Amino acid sequence: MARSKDTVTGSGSVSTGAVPNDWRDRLRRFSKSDVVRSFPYWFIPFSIMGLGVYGGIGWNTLISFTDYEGFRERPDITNLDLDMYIQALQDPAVIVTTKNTFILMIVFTTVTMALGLFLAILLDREIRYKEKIQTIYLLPMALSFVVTAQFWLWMYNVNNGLVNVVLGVFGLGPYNWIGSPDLVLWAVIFALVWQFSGYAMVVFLAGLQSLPDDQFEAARVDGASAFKTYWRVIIPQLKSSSVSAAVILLIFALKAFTFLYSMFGQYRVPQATDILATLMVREAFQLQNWAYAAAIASILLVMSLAIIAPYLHYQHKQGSL
Amino acid sequence: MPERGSTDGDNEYLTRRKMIGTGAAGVSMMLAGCGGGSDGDGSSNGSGDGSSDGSGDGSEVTDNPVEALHGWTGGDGAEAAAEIVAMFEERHPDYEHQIEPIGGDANENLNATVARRLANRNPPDAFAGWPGLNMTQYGGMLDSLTDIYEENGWEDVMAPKALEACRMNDEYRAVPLGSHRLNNLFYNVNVLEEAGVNPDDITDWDSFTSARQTIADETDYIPVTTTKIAPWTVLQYWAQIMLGTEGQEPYEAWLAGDGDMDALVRALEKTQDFVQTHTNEDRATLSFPEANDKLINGEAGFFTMGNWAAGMYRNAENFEFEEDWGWLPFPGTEGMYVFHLDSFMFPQDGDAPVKARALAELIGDAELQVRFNNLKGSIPLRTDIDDSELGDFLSMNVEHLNNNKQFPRTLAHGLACTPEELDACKDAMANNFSDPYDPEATAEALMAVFE
Repeated sequence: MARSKDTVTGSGSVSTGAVPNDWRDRLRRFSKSDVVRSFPYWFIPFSIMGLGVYGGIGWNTLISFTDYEGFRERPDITNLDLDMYIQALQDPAVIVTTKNTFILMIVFTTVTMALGLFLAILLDREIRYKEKIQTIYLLPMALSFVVTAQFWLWMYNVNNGLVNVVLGVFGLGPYNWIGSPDLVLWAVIFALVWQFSGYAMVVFLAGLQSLPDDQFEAARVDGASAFKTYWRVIIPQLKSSSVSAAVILLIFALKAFTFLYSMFGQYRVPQATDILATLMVREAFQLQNWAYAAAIASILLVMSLAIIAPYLHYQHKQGSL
Repeated sequence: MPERGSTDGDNEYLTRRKMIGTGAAGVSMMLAGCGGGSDGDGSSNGSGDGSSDGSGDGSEVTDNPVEALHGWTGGDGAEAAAEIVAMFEERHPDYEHQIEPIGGDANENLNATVARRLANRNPPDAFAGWPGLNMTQYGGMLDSLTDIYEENGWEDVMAPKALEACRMNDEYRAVPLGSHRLNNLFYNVNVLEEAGVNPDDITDWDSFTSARQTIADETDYIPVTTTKIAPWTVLQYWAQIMLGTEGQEPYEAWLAGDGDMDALVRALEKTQDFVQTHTNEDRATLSFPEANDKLINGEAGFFTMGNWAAGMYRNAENFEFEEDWGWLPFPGTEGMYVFHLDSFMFPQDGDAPVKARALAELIGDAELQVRFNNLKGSIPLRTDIDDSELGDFLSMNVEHLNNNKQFPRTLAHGLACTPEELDACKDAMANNFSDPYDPEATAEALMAVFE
């Protein structure tokens, strides 16, 4: 402390050269800058978050380059290579689960957003009991996967499940929703859409209600039909809502692991619904192939980024991001 | 101006420096915390390795509670586990303990938790698990228990099959607790009577097939209730059918990498028939207790499962052994006892070695084995216990355990294969034997597992 005072007074009196003065000035100015002054406030939360999220991603990536497995050895980070990725690309299980993950993400996100938008527009049409209907649609989102997975399992029961009972009224079925490999993935996607379309609806509804009424009135004066008003005027303005909905839904698609685990009670789910996340957990926690599981996790991360990236890029160009 | 400015600036500078200092100290403490944590793990690992060989005699009693993990969360399992806690408290009132369940199907979460803890160098003092080849995954991590075996004379009083399964690298590394038998065919007495099927006639696959046919023809009951929600159940069905129709020799030969492809295909074809015909259609959505409920409710004739299923019969009201439900060895497996084993293993480097030894001695104790297994519905491994303390059904099984000659090890419960091999077997079933059923391709995949 005393030293620092000395240097400051020293710098005031001694003027031997412009160079030390210059960097001291800069240092002083830097020390007074907002970045440094606010340092204690932003750095701690930033480092905790960074360590948890990006540190986790970084550590996972590092592990995926090693050959780490079993309990006895620690990961050897001196010898890094792409062996695990090469092995993964040749593994039929990885190929099947990648395909399933891809279908799940794309179909679930698209259908949920379309349905959410449709519901939001319906509710925006000043219908009666609007708030109550809104709550009813949002309620499934509040339920835990553990609950919804179990009762969808019961509802999909081929003999006495509600789904087949309802379809039976129309003379359809019975379908073996869970037992048939052709249907089970779609059954899971449907259950997830059911749970999250209410969320998409609320996001879109907030977007709709932030739009001023004059736009509707102007469109009406111009003689546009309701459909045309929404299609041409309103929906194009919902871009920022749809970005946030898409990102969140994609994240929930990744969390389908929880749903599948709750539904089938184990890490190994029917092959047609086996996704990268379930495969990763099996490789890591049942077989202790830590490096291989880390490589699968990296593939999953890259895949989700690859799916969302073009969309984000487009929205960024449009100025919605 | 410059002076004032500089002093003011100085003061400000100092306070900011303090803040920065505090912040930096906070962050460095955080980092040090992380680093220190792993260092600590490392050192405990090292010292543990040194002391583990002579553990017991030289070790002091630490203040740490003994931490034991098991998978018995609900029903009869939880009651049985409570017996371990009660007896540990009775015998060692001054020893703190954390004997805790980790929930989940077929030890899945328990195994995952144990794997995570072992990989993080933070092992529990004890955990429940399947010994046999399943134990090889923990090779090098488990404490030797040979001296406890010798002190307690367990080599003379434990079932030889259990002793064999608990050995690894020339030492005893697990304490057997109870055994479930797998080759069971449970039946509902009422359903069989109504259909006119005499259970004593069911001795092999053909007579079983005609019994199923008779129930289907004569009644509206489901002949066999099945569960197929998990691939291990199908693997388990196949293993029983393989043992029942082809015998123990081809089964063991297959496990040894010298299987007969045709034998596997024949057994798989029968398994397909067993799963697909004369069973409940909703098998893909039912867990084993739900499938078993159909037998208890009188909707179904037969059910095959490890004898933990019998725990549900004991807990059901007005559902008595030999009056309402009966037991047969799975058709064709008369004289066999398909062997499953629950045990406790004790990792090296535990925090409470002395208390862990006390727990190990308790697990092998005759009184505990009776009290635990009576509730759990499994069979004690002590050969010197009094049968009269056990229920009728368990006594019968104890007799079979002590007198049968053939003890094929269970596949789906890890005694006969490593976790990798078990996973590959489940893969074989999930990929080729789940609607559509392809016995040839499945047999090829199963053969490849042990080749």
